Amino acid sequence: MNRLKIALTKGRLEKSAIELFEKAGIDCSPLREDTRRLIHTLPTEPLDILLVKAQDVITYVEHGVCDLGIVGKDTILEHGNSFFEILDLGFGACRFVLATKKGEDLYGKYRDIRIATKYPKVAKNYFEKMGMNVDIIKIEGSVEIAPLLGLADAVVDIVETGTTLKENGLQAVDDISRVSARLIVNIASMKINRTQIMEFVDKLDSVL
Amino acid sequence: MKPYAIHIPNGTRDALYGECRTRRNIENALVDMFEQRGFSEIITPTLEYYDTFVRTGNTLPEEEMYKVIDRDGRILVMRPDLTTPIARVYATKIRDVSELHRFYYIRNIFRSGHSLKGQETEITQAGVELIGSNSFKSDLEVISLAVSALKACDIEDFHIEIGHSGLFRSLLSQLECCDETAEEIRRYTEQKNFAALCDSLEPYSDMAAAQSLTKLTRMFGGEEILGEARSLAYDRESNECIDYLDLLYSELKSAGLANYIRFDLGLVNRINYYTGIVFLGYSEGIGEPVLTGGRYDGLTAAFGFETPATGFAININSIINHISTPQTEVPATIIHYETGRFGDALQILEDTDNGKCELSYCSSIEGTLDLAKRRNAKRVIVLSSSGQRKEFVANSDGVFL
Repeated sequence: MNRLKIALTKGRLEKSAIELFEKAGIDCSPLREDTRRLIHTLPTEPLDILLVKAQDVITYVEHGVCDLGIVGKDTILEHGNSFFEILDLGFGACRFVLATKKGEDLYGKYRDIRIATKYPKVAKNYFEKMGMNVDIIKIEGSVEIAPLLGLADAVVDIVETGTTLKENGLQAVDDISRVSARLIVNIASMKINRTQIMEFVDKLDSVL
Repeated sequence: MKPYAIHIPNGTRDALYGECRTRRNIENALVDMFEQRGFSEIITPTLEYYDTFVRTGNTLPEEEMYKVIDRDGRILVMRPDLTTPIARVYATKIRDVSELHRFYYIRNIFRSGHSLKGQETEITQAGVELIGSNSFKSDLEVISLAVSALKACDIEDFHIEIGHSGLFRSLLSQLECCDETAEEIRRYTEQKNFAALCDSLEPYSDMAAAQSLTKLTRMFGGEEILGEARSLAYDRESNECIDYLDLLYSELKSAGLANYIRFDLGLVNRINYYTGIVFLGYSEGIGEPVLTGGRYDGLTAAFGFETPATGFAININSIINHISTPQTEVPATIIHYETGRFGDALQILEDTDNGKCELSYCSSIEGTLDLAKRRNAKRVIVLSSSGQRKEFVANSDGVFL
């Protein structure tokens, strides 16, 4: 039997993923130790766990150097290309919204509006669907500041509760899509390691 | 100005020594096999009109094609696939329904991928097209050929996975949904995104077809899948698709190919292009399909002459990237010649019985022996001006005696 490699998104999703694994009866004790190792071998399952950044989960799975990955739908929408997206794991739930300064009328302008976002592809797809021509500016963090400084008319961003928006005087004007953690599988590996992967998938599915 | 002169564009590559040899060996093995089975080579231009590839309703996004503007301002593309040009050639130059035409090609295609994602933009494809028959036998031939072709590529542990585009199409048509929803259902089926697929099918959940569609995402594996699929197919059309796959499998099995065959009934990539069976080849350790193929009876019609056709293409690059390339081959013999003996040296060189031979470029015998040692040669032949011929053979330590 091949050992499967699964790439987990480091940080927030990692904790929930490990909880889910343990709920499904998978011993994750090596991950609980405080080490700087990046690859962890599980004692009871033919599974190696890699902790990497969200975007890298997709890169490793698409190239087939990892068989499986756990990554947020936000990263999939922005960077995903070809893999099987086989389970919605439910945790890490949040949503993509379009938000403006409170009271601002985004659609009443006689010029192309400017959007600040960390997710240019998500923003582009959304406005294409809306049939609107917009100018997108990529911002690396805290995009809420951009409308306040007058750099952009609105932001496309990911929100969990909306508190950050509110505290910065912004309001969501449209929901773009729902986001949560997903289990993704390399296309070829799914076919080559079918039994093993489907067993693992069913194991997780049964405790969701 | 930045010094681009010493770089090559992202996604392209230089190949040397062992890799070139492996590549050439694979290509030769494939050509020999295709020729032996009655296929003829077809060569089409690297550059074609952009319109040719748009005409077919091809689903390849515009931004993935490399474009060139010709002298008259028309848009050309570096061909992004080889099947479309062959369909064009057939519909405009052959137009012969009386015979089955078998073509093969080994050429490069060009796709402008995403930068910094490790995708190659120039890909060698080896493939075949059987044009002029919609018979079961031509489907059978093309699948067995796909197996032989992957064997010829010297990869181990591969399998061909077969689906039938008609099954998904017939189930989908019963929903009578709009194009947008249909594309959504197709995409989620392709991604095996069970959760999202169930959401999309929610409005149709009381229909048997919708329930069958949700099950398609898990319908992949061995022969047993065909049995399971019977429960999904309740109308004539979808039953016929499964009968077809059943028959295909039993013939392939009788030919001893069962080990290479699997099924995925949720295979719906490019569903508007394929009209019958679709198949993909996978190999252990390669993270993408190494072979794609299927029946595309509608393609030549885009060029004004309708003919059934089927074929496949192998992605040679993905195979090369995963095959260990052999070390540089060592010459069996190095020939050292002195003034006046060049003709004799050439005679030895031309005699293929001597195996791999090289001429020495050294002026002294010592120099040649040193060269032979560095190159791991087995034998040195010395042709001296006096007319003598001497032979040195390497002992087990590589020393020439």
